[in-house]
Amino acid sequence: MRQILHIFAKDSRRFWPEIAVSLAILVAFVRVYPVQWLETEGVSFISGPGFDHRKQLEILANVLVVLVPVTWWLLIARVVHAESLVGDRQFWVTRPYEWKNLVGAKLLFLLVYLYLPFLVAQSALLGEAGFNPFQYVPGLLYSLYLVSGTIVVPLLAIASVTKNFARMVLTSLGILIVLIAIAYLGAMADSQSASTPYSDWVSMPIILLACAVAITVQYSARKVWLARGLLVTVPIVVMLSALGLPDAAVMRAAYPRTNGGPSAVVDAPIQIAFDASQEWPKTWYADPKDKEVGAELPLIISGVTKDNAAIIDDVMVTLDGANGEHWSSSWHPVYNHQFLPGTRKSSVSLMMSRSAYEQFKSIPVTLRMTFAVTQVRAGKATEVVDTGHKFFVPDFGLCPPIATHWYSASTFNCRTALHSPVLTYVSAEKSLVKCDSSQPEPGNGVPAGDWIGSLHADPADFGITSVWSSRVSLARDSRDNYTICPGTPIRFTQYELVRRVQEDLTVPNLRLPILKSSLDDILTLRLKP
Amino acid sequence: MADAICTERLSKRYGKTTALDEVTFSVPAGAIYGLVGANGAGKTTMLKALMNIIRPTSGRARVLEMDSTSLAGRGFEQIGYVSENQEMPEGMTVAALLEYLRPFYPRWDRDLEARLVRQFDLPLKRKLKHLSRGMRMKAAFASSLAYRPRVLVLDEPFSGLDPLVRDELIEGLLDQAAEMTILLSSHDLAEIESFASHIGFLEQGRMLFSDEMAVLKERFREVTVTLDGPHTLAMDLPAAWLKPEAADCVVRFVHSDFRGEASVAEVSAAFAGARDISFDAMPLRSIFLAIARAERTQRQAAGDVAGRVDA
Repeated sequence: MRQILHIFAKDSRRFWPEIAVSLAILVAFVRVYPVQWLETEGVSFISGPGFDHRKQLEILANVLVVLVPVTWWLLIARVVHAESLVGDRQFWVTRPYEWKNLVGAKLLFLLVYLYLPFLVAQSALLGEAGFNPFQYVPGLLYSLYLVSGTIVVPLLAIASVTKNFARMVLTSLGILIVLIAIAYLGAMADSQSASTPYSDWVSMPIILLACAVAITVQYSARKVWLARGLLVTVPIVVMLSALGLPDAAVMRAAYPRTNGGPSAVVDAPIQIAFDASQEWPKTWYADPKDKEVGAELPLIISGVTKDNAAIIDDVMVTLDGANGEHWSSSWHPVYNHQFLPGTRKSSVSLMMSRSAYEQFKSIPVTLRMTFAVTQVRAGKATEVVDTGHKFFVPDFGLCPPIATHWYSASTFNCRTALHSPVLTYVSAEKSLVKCDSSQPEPGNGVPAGDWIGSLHADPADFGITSVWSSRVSLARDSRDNYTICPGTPIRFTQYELVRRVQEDLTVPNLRLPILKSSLDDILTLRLKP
Repeated sequence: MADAICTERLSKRYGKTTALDEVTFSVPAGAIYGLVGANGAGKTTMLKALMNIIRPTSGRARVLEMDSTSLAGRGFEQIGYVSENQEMPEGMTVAALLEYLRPFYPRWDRDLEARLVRQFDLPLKRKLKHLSRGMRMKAAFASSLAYRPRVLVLDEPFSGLDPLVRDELIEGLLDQAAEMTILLSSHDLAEIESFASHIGFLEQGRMLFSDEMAVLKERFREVTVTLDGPHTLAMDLPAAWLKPEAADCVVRFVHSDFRGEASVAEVSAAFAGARDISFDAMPLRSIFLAIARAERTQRQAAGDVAGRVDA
């Protein structure tokens, strides 16, 4: 322990300028960043005195968000390279350093000058945003874990296999380029990949473990090439295996299939039917190079039981032609497809290559769609009356006074602590008439609602800031002029996971839409059963 | 006397290049061992292998009874290492360096430290990066002598230093020499000759000889034979006769295994009727050159032209 403290004291004395810069930037970040909340709450868009100053602060806040990890990068590089692990000329390798003490001293340095200030900064931001940081201790610690896995430990590992800062920068850029290339190749192979709820749970610990092993190998034995090999190989293997894993297997694990038969339909969290009555004439999509075409598949959604909701997360489409031809899409994510009880029209996108389209366009096909569906159940509900003041919604966040909002009395931003909110349906009745001082009559308006947040249950999301902003929009579209009047109750209903399942929809004897070229060469598909 | 350092068939290869080729030698405790050899002979590789800075490909080495490959941490409390191209903590002052290193060594002697600082005239408040090469080396010496190491390994410690600094360092070293074993590498033979008790000669990764200085000097003689008329060298001269040359009536060679009267008799018999035969003691430099040239001639003859490096 004495050696740890001794090395730590040496590093503290030696790198005080770097430490001072890092802390100064963090302090500036804490002081300036709250201006972002004013921006998201619309304040900065109000012209008047101080408007330019606020805009400058917003720019500064954005710069500081980047500068904070950059100073960490510098700090980590300096402290690790002070006892460089690469090369055979370092004075310290023939001195009585115990490698465990050396690692301990470096970790202590990061704990004192990186983690602790960051924890304090995050707590200060929470306090500034109106949250009591002591109520978010697990989230704050989880946030440190995410920062470790995403920034600190990988940088520490890279620093341990490079000789100096310049080489560390080049190595980091090299790794970044390789990862981007792999991601690009993945995107080339499959333009979108399905989103499963568990992807980050696996990759983060594997990368952390690889980095930890590389760091240990370096400090204990200084086997540079072994450590470098680990650092290069493991993330690539993780990414390639993520790309190479059959979607079907991953999705089957995340979304088990319901049992077949009539009971399955009854059990299903949602009834999905093809809307044969619809002619879907809207221009949808055409790749500029004419390589891909697409259309919207009209659907009728029903069957969601009371106090429940269903979310379509991903969809996969297969086509079987009467001539034996077969085509299948990969799993693609679907956004904003949440359904409450009742019957609703909806649609999902079908995209296919132009060549595949040509194979099927003139023959009857059997269309099979498989949906990854999440069933959620209404839980805690909180009703808040807008009184023109900020209001706090438990387990959700802090919201500004709605009626004074700049943008629209139907759209507002709420601050949440450490992560985006849990999945919540925000609903209110909007006034059909202009608001006046009188209280609106219940039932004398238009119901409106918006889904916010996600089902992810992590206590924190990765971020330099600890305060997140979520936009709640109760406007149906941009022409919606209805407003929420002061005094209107707003209901925040939180939803919790019930189950995830796959559901199938088969449409036989379908003819693919006719592809039309408009004057501006935009392709149009019309789908007719 | 027990050996402070010993190696056994120690080899280091970088791909197809052999830096050390099955080197076996030992340094007795209390010796000042000069490891000499031309640039690229493998001296630095040898010292780095002993200090566990690099790992040998095969063979083994022991330093103070410790296997060199396990030498780490507290093992260095009794071992010092100074190299001409060592990367020092440049941002530290001399005082900060000494203060920083002090707690690492239980045997650190503050009085000795103060004496060394005075003796080397070290500027305590100046940063290492602002010191001259000589001063940096003095600081390295002071930081390695102050804890009274039992073994001190020095890699070309005097290379590129002016004579004054060199003498100061040697003086400082010799003051402590009685209580430690010193192994130092150099290609400056005159410098080594002045104070080394033992000498080892590396050539292209192979240890050509390793002996006590006195024994070595006794073993080598430059032999000059004056004959009555021109003489042609026989092809089957003894292997210990190195660099044989004949010019008119004079034959010269280096006897690498001189054993007094026996050798005199041997040479006299080989050159019967010689007018005069002299056996002159040789300076280290001449011994070194004779061995090196003989080795190269032998190797060229054998067609062994494998490349070797001194890492």
